Amino acid sequence: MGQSWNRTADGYGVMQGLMYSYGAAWAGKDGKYRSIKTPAMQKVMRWATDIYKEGIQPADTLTWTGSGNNENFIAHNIAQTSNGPSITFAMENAVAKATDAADRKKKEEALANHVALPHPAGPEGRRMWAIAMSFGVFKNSKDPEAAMSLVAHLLSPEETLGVMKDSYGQFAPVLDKGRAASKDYFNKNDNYRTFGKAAEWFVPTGWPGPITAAAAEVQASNVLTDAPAKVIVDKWSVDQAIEWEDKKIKEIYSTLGA
Amino acid sequence: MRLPRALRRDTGAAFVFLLPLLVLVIGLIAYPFARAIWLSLTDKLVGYPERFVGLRNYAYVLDDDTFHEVVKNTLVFTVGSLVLKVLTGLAMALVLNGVWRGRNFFRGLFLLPWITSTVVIALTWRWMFDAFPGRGFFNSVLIDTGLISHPIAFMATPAGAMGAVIVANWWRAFPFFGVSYLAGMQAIPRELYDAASVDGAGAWHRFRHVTLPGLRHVMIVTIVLSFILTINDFNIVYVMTRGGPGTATQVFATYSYEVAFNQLRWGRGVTISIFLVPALIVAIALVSRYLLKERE
Repeated sequence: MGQSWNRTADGYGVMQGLMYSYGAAWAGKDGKYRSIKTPAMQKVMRWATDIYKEGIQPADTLTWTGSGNNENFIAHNIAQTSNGPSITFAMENAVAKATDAADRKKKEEALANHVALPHPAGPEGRRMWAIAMSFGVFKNSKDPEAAMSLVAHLLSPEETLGVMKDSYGQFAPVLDKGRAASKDYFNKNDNYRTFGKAAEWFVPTGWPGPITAAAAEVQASNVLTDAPAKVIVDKWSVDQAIEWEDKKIKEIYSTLGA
Repeated sequence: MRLPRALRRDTGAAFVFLLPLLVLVIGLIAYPFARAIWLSLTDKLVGYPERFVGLRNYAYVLDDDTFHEVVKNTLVFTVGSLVLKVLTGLAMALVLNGVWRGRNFFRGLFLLPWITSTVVIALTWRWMFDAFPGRGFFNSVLIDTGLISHPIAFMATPAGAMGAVIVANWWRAFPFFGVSYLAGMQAIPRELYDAASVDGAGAWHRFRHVTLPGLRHVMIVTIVLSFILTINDFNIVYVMTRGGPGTATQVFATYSYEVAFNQLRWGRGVTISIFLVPALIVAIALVSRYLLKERE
């Protein structure tokens, strides 16, 4: 497999999906820091670090940058990674750019032989981290009505379908009208059906609470992925790493509040 | 006491001529620097007004375990790169100094790394150190020649990843050292070597007692200039490792970027950079001193 705990969404995004599926949320419903020193988090950390033992992962996975997992998947170095839509897009692109019939056949086979699946469910259910793209109008906007009209246009079924197509499945619609408009697009094949369905399991940063500045900084500060890296690279114990993580998150919440 | 009229007229003209430079120095150097110092004394978060917090950012950074690693990593990265650059730069200059045919061709050839895009260099070296045979150049060669049976994951360990970013940084900059030393060697009077030979000095002693002292000023200037550039390097580390594995290659520039632009804490991000200022001031003072001395 190829799962990097690095400083990209491929790292901190998957880590959050894993944590939430185990019920290891750090914030409460009110958005305030609860605790990360829990038995659930210990299980998460063990899973996250055990996959780096006994050659399950390529040895240099931790230093992959944003494109590392896609490159290694397409080069047949790994059989699994968490990055479905962009890999599908790259493989479709490769078919379109095939140089001759033999090359095209090889690339079509590769495309047909890969499958996109939602993350496995954890003890607390299946939860996948996602960013909710939202729109807002500033209080001091000179023309709030025009701004709202623009927002309405961007969220219209036609525009939603355009975004879905141009983002090759990286975005999934959550509004009913948008879902209806992009139904055909997400029915192209099983992989696309998974991309369209993924929104059902989406949870945001800081779940089960609202997305707060502090929750966003926990993600942006890479605490969630640096902790397993400390176990894997620096040979810390799981408890030490969670203790360190707790200290960092507390500091973030104490300066930013919930 | 009133200045003579002619002198007053000259002072006015001089001020007019200096004004564009003054505007540039204040606008592009003094103001941003003063603003950075001010930001480091605030809790500035993107989207929020800044509030004065005194030295709180400095206290936080000094207590931050990641920052301690960053200081150590930056020193290892900078010193390691500099040592390699000096040694290979000297070797390159010695070889080119002794070659007459095709010297200009080789001089141009050796400058290729210096003019290549840093991002291209970083991506190429990352590919060369890759653990997968068929993709990683070193592993492919070592396996094909039978020297190893299993690929080595160069980038998997803290030491290996640090070694890889040092090598990429060294490769990019050693031509600058080589060309500078070559120019320095060609300025050393031939008579000094002849006199040393007459006194019975062999190749090593001529190098030790004629070449090296003759290159002293060039060496100091190149080392200090390269120190400034290397300690501030961002591209190579960011493209090759993003500071990983873990925080094993996180250096000042990448950590400052991460805090300022990912976490949006401008105050704290600027504070991290400001910790480099004393070292940079010493380095700049040294370069200025030696450059002025050479001019005299």
